[in-house]
Amino acid sequence: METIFLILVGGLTKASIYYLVAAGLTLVFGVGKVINFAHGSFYVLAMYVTFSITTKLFGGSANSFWFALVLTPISLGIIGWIVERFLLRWVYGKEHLIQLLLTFGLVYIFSDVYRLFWGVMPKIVPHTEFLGGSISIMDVIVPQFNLAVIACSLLVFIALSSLISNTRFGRLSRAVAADGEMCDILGINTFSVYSGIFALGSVLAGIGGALATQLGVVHLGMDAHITILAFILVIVGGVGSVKGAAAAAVIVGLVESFGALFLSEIVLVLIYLVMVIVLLVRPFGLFGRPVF
Amino acid sequence: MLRGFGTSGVSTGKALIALGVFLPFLPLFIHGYWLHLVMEILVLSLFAVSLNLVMGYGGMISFGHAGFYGVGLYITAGFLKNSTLAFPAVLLLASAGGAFCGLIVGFLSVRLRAFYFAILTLAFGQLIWAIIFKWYSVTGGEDGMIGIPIPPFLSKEISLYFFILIVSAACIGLIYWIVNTPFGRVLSSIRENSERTESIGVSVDRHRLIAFVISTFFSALAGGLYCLLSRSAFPDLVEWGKSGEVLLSCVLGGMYSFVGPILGSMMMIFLQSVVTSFFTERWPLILGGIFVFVSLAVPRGVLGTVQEKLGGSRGLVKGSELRDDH
Amino acid sequence: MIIEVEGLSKSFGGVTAVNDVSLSLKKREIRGLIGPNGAGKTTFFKLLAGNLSPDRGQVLFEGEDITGLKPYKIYRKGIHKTFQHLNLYPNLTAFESVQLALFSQHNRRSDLLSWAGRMFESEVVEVLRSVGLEDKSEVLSSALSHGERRRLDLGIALAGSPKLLLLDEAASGLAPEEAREIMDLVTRLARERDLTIFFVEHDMSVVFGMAERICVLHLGTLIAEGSPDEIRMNEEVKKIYLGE
Repeated sequence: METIFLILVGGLTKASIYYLVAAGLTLVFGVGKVINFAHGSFYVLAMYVTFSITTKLFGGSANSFWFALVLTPISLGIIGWIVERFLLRWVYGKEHLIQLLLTFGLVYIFSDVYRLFWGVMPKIVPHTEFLGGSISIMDVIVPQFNLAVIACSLLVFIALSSLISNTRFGRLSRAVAADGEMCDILGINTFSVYSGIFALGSVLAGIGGALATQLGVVHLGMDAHITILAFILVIVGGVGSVKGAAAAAVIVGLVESFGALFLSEIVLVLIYLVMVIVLLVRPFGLFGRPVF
Repeated sequence: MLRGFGTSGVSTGKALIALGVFLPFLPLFIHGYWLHLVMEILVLSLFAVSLNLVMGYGGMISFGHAGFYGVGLYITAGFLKNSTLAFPAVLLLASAGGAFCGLIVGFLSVRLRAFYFAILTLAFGQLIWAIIFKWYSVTGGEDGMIGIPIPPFLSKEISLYFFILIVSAACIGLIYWIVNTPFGRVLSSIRENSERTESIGVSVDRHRLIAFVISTFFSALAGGLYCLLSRSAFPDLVEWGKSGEVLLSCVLGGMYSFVGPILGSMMMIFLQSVVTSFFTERWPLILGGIFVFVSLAVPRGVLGTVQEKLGGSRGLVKGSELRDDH
Repeated sequence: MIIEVEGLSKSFGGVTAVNDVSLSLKKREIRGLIGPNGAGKTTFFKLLAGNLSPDRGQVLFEGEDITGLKPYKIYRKGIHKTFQHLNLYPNLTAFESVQLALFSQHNRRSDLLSWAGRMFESEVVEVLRSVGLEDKSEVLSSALSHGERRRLDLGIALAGSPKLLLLDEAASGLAPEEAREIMDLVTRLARERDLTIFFVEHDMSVVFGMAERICVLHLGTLIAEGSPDEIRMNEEVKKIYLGE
């Protein structure tokens, strides 16, 4: 029983991180209609940036992480904005192949950027003291930070949902997602909506990456896995649906955690199986509508 | 028939024949490192042409073809190392293995629309990589397999060269034949307008699947040939990076022509050898840069762009674009 | 009866596009389908041709239940459809377009052994001649005039001896004389071959000139069926077309 609870917490923690990454990706798809293969690379970049902020800027002090948690998403937002403004903007509305090629190229570039600036050795981010310990819940010892991650992503979920439903930007985004051309005609500056959404997506990836540094080591080769996972989550959840991203993240997070216990070698297969089954039954994902 | 993209059946045929006549005499002029490079080009060309059957002709963008290439590579490596089976049989087995994987992946993927197909193939390609990576006892995992023995009749460089030349040329020729059969024409028409093609009695899904399986057969064969060149097998040849390289070879040369991928392969190998000589570490960065450049400036590749300049808009009407209604 | 439709219905979300339509055609009949815009004519044809599957109802072709079959299977049964918004192959010549249909018709779709080249040349030329395009055979579809494209569309559908031809506004976008020419062509071909024709058309002179019987669709429901004279006299039909 204890173990199950721990695995549940572990699974939800993973799900939280996955949600942050997937939500950003699904928003960019749904609103900008752009396929961004490099989204996972942003996540990994965020991890490396967090590493640098905590070790270089704050000399590796124990609670510097929390500063990084603020600074990393901001820097990712800026980087995302630059990428969108100067590269992605050229391929809006073009064939998917061109978008795929462009963003695939970015993946290569980023993968080498990590090597260039941070070398090939894995990096460990200083563990936070605040919330770094464990807490006892119903006689089970649970890492505090895991709960913090779950709480954090719940906050993001709420904030994102209210952003989309209640703010002007949210309404504009929904309008552009529904019919970008019409919005253009109506005089809405769709380009700034695109930029905003892309920056938002990058920020979310930044948060996810920053949080993830406390849960594991940062190493090369993570980008492929998280990119595919992010796409699987978006597909399973339904393109453009933040709710769907959350649902998919929970499913995959739990499958991964429980799967690791019993069938660790084929966990990956299980996840792919989930994706294939969902696609065969609901071709647009759990909560999706025909976008592509 | 791929119209207006620099090939009209006749000129492709001439190009291929020209190559076929010229290449056997190459060993008179070059050996060692350069001959090895040409052999790499031949293998990559086969790989790229087989991928282009699915991409340029079939209109399906596959990001995971390195998986099938890898299957071919590893099966070949395994048999060469651990058995005395005759090499042609090994190659055939390796290709069949790749085709079998292609059957499974294709069956699950071809019915989906372009975007989902791309992601699924990427995912399956990575899945194959993950299996190879983790199955240490069979594949050697991260350490790979080294010291693969070459079959004795290929131990001389010149015999190896001719073997690879003949096999890859024959396979490329086979694929060239296939795209000019009714099957190939129907395949192209699916790419041009799948809805119309379905309405004239073609089971689009089944047709795509057949094309996919043929493609993966030859991709795996290319992987098997590569084993002869590298005498080793490593997981990084199965990863998405390799899938991207072969994809770029198709696009760079011009994926709407038959010889485009061959040209692209030449450029790719050449670029790669130049870069690794001078900037040893930064190949991924440069490769990524090429991707970005091609996608922004020359998405139709070298041959496609040349055709555009020469032939005007002939053949570059909307139908040639990847359609989302798939 | 070559084709019998029983209670065919299709809705999209809350909108009923086709509402409980029942009709049947005799062999070699020429039947017209008319109705104001949005009446559901194209949707109905798509249901027959397999592009859409009905929510309810049944379609029997030569006694066989073909309801909900995929388009390629319905084609192989002998039901060929043209498209309302021309759906051609821009980068294929007229010759290649028709040849394609013949590959399918002669079961050579998966032929991996023969060189395609000019296979079935005489048949292709025959089809092109029958639609008046024999001297345009090497022209790209994209380079044909609208009228020629309509003929090509017809030609592709005619290739391979269909039993039932569904023409969805085959004369759309054409000047009146050209429209009549094409429809005369269709009528003539129908008589020569063993062909049943079910056509949708907006040009009333064409419809009344060509059809032996006419069906009238309004908001998805079949409101009238009869000879051209009967339809002309029908009060309801007059109402929906001319308004109250």
